Amino acid sequence: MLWMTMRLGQVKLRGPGFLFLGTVLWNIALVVGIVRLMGGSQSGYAFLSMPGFVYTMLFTAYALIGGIMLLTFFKRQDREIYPSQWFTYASIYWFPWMLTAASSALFASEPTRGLAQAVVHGWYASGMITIVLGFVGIALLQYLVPKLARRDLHNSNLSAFAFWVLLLFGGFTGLLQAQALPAWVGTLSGICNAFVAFAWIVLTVNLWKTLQGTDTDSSDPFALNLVRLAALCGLLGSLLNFWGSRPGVAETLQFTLYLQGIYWLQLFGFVGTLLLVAVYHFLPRISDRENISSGLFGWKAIMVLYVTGSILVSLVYVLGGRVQGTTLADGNRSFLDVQSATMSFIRISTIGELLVFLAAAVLVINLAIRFVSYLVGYVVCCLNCKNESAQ
Amino acid sequence: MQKGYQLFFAILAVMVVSWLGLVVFPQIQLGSQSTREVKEIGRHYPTEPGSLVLNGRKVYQQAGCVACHTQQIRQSGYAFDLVLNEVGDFPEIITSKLIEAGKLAGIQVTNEKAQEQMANLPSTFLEARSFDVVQDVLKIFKDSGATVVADILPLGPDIERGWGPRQTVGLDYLYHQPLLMGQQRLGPDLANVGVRLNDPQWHLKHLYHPRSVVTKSSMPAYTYLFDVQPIGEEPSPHALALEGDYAPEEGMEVVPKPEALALVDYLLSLKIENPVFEAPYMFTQAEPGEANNAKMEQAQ
Repeated sequence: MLWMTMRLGQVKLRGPGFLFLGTVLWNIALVVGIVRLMGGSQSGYAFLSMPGFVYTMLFTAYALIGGIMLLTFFKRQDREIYPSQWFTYASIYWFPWMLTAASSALFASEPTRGLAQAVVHGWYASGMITIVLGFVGIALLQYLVPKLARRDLHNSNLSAFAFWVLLLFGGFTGLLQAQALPAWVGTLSGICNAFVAFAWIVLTVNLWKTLQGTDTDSSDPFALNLVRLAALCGLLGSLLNFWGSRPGVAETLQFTLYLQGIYWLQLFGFVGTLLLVAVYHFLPRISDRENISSGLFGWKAIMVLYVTGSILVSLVYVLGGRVQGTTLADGNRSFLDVQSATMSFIRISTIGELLVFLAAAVLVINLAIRFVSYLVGYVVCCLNCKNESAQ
Repeated sequence: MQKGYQLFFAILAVMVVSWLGLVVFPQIQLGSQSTREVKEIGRHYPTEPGSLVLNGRKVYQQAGCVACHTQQIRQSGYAFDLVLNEVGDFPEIITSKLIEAGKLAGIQVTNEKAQEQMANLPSTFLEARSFDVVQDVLKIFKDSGATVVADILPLGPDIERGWGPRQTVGLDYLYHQPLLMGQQRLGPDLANVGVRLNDPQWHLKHLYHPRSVVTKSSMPAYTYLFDVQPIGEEPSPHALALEGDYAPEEGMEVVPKPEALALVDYLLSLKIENPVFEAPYMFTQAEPGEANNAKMEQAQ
């Protein structure tokens, strides 16, 4: 995101020291949170599962990181704000507000009581998926497509339309119907899911028009194909979310793997893939090294493993969720029947999860190799400089 | 677009609307709920949980049970049973009314059958009928002198599966802090597990090794909640009565740690056993414990 801010705004990074501090603090908070989670300190809220104090640390870290991003943005030379920047800044603003509002409601000394907790948590979860992380993905999509296709975005007005629709309605999605919640919550969520799906169709049409006939012009067809695939995952995720939130369907799909499948599509298939493509695209430019994609531990191997695994898990969960929901909806069938109908899907999804794990392992090896080669290069360079000065 | 601050204020405005809609308004609507007197049980509902239950809830949280179990019973609608309680002073008229009611409901009621129903009061003469049919039938019996009542029967797969007598409503979660409703059913719903499976020994065995009580269970074993120790002078009163492959070695016993006992206490506290205004049903006193225990394997 910082790279995009600097490139599009034609500006140098402001306050790199604070950024470094923020990043270190963020990672410390995450490590502390994960260690506490593994020790059994779960909050019980799926999207805010770490202990409450970790969110204070994360907020402080994010204030430094986000503050630097905003400072850099406001010092930009190019005053025009491009579509990818709208999404970036909405995501930057939205996250700290939402984190503060949700964590103070759920973890304060006098927290929200009873069922209201479910609404607050649902609001946070849908905001995280649709707006914070979703907008990071869309920002990358709108940045990478023109870069890789070597042409301007087809129509920035369509992007603006999608931006406002997603922003207005995205924060109200994700609260499925038929819970013990007041009826208006589920109805509102279902309607907003329809708007979000429509905005995604508009975004896809815009990207499709941009990409029409660019296969031979592309600077990197492999990356462009992955971007296409990621966009497809985003679109499919929003359409399935809309379909699954319709009255009559929501009741069947509630409490099943279906929702997990949509999370995988949106978070891993869409956002995760685009983040990997972004690193793949930016890394040679940042490190001045061309050859990062080939070899057993290269980026292409990482991305192929990751994308295959993510899509496999998503689709298996969506299909499995449908089967699970249909079996659950038949009151004459015992719960053991429901379990045995679902189990084969869970087993297949494990293969996908293993592929994603393998991709992560290869990524770690890749980064370790890169880091060691950087260190060796640095030492050799220092020695050469010493020899030259001695001569 | 060129103005960064315009974008900032527009995003802020949308965020505030979303926050008001889904944080503040539900807080006003749901956050002010308090306990309510339920006449069927003669006390306020729900009651505040004790300290052992609260400890058990913590163990439930730590063990991650919420990842696989929900605590929410769904209901798709209602049906009604029509019960004749009193015949009144004109039995001949009631006979014809019963025949007419049968016609309305699409079943054939003979004179003999009507007589039989009137002889065995209270008698359910129509079962699982829709609200419209019930309204029409009640009109027939109006001013006839007979007493006819409609019993409410909640419907839906969760209820048919025996997970609870009615849907869960906001009031049931008043003391759930944090709210552990769950989002996925990889295991059965636990909203009413304290009523349908009310034997602590069964739960302890299930936690120690799920397949010792449910043959095809896919639940992981929580053996770390138990100590396997040599039997002292006398066996521990809490030792599990395990058999077959799950029994400990000769001279050893499996004793639950305090965390396991607290968790079981929490599970037994999860009960939906009375109607509330938002979710009425025909309330009868709970069945005796023995009858429930016999149903345990089936309910799983």
